[in-house]
Amino acid sequence: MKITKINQPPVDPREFDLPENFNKEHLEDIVEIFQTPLTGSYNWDYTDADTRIKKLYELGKELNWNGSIDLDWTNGISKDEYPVKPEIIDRMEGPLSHLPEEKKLEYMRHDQGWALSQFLHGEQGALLVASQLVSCAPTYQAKLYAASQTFDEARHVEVFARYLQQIHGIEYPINKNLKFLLDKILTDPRWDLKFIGMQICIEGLALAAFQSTKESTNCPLLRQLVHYVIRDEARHVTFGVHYLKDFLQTLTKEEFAERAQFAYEACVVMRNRFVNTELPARFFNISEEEIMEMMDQDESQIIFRNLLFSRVMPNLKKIGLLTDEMMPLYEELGLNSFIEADSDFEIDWAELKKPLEGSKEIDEQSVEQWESTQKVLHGNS
Amino acid sequence: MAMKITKVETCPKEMRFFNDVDIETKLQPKHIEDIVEIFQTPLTGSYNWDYSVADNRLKKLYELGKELNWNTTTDLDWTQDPYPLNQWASNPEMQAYRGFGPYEKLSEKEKIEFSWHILASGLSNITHGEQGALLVASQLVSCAPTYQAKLYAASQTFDEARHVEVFNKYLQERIGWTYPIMPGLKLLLDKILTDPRWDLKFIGMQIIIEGLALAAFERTRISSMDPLLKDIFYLVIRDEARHVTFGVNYLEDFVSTLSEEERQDRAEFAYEACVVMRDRFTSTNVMNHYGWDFNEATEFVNQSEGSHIFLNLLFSKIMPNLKKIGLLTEAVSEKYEKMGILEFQDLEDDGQTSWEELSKPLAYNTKTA
Repeated sequence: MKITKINQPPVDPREFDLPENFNKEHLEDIVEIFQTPLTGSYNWDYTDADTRIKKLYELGKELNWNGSIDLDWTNGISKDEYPVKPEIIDRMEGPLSHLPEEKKLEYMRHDQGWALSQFLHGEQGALLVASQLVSCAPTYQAKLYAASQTFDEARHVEVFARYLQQIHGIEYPINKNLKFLLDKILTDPRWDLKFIGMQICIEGLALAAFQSTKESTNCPLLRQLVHYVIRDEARHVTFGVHYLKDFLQTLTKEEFAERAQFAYEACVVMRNRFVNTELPARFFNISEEEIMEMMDQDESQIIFRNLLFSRVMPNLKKIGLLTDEMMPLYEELGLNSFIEADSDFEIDWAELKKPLEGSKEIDEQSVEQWESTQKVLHGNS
Repeated sequence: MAMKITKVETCPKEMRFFNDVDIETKLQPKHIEDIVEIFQTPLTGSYNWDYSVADNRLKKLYELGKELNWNTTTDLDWTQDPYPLNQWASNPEMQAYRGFGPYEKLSEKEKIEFSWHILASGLSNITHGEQGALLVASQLVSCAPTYQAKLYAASQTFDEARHVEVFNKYLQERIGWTYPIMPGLKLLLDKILTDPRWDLKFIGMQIIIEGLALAAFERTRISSMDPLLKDIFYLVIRDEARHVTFGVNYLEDFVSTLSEEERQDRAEFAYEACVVMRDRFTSTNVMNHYGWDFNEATEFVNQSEGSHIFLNLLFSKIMPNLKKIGLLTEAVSEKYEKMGILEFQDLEDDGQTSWEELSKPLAYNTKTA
């Protein structure tokens, strides 16, 4: 095997124009090393209670979709179609709206390529964290469950990578702020901290972002793909909330405060810095600082970015990490209004258990969801 | 409710019984207390930034892993009457202690009970070994340097979890007692799980322990009497065949990237692991339970024909694979020669994958409708 070790992630987007399943026995792999001391455990008590964790494990086995079989890969859109709904193109403002048609298409394709690439890299991070959890989680059922989640995350990496390469055609490297957070999470020796960062903060955000992609995409294949991923993520977040809630109670006061602080810092990174600055820089020569400033003034951007936290905040509250010390800080970020929102995972077991939906049902469902989101974002007009 | 976790310094040494009362109470979460033993391992992980996939053997194994993903709960029929404990657990013609003094003093009924103890001890250690495999496979997701290996390792992680699950379920629901882990196996697992070198973990687990497991599975599948258990072994063996194929293919490529000195290290480690495994087959815990002299029993078993057949079976799985991945260096070859197992290196091995075998649909008896 040929392995190229690098010290930082790559910086340039990659375009794929490969024939399907190109046949090369040995690929070159580009890897970036990280070190982490792992405190693992054997579990010598295999007794199995009929708990929620067990139920989640059982569901993980039953709803184990296979991207090669269960997704219809002939259902993708071509590279000269807009990747998002026409309404979104019509509603464009600012320098974007003045671009010639061809440039507009290119921009939108890069925009979606960037977002899907961040999903892909995030899923790789989730794969690494979930797999470490198998060693670190102290209970028998959690180890089994974590193994099923590990497999879920691998299938997510697989389908996003395949979609980008075969259908979309543009893959972006990982955003530096997402990478910063992944590094922090993956190298920390405290497993529960990895878990808070990944399962509550990053997956919580991802879930909201997936939902928005499912509603806005023009591509039936992508809609189905993201829908199946969302079904899995719903189990993951449910597990995270239940397991962490029980586990955090075993910590000392000081340890607990560290976790609360960490969760807040992760939210700050995601709220204030996880922005696609690469694209405006490429297309319009706008600097990172200028972009950040524009984002902070654009009302609909603020609503959208805050909305991403609608899944994170209620879950942080449930596991107890919205401590009195932290509350004013979240207030400053403008995220407090979401604390009492439904987290979606007010364990709706009926939702979690449903058999996987077909493409048509998913399409109908996402039209309804799109309409209700539009009301939140743009009012009833 | 805060979880209750008891940390222990060493693994438990006592048998555990699961009677009917236990089975009723175990449905209540408050009775679950987890007993954990901590290990430390520095992990050198990697992100992989090249997600392109070649249509190669690894991809095939990953695809098969997804397709043949059987589910203990729904694919095996647990509703049929349990195989009765007052009948032989394993073929009466294949009892390893036949002719051993203390064994022959047992009544027929006691011999039958003894056969269940031997099976319980075997299955318990398989369960512990599968837990070890689960931990190693999951660490491999971080450590394996290539994209396809990370995905594959994730599918193996899930396989191992389902193996722990199925053996554990059988032990608790069908036999009713379990044995702690044997010292030799524990020694090897500790070494593998805490070593910072991922490929060494991988050699120990995927070539040595899984090789051993495969031999033990095949033997137990033949000797056991319960059709349900035969099916469990059939399904688990199908998975293990993929795992060994992956191990051989991947390590073959990887070991060739190591320096001569590093390769020698790995060869020496594999040899030591083989020694540990060869010498630790007696069911020490069953001997203790019956109060028999351990040394006498070991000597008896080691001289028996069945034991020779098993050792041959075992090393015929391990040696050809060690040769294939380049770990039968000159230095260790001499040592294997002294052990009398070097001759196995040229046997047909499991790494010579029959893709046809690996890809066949699952076919077994107690399938659910």
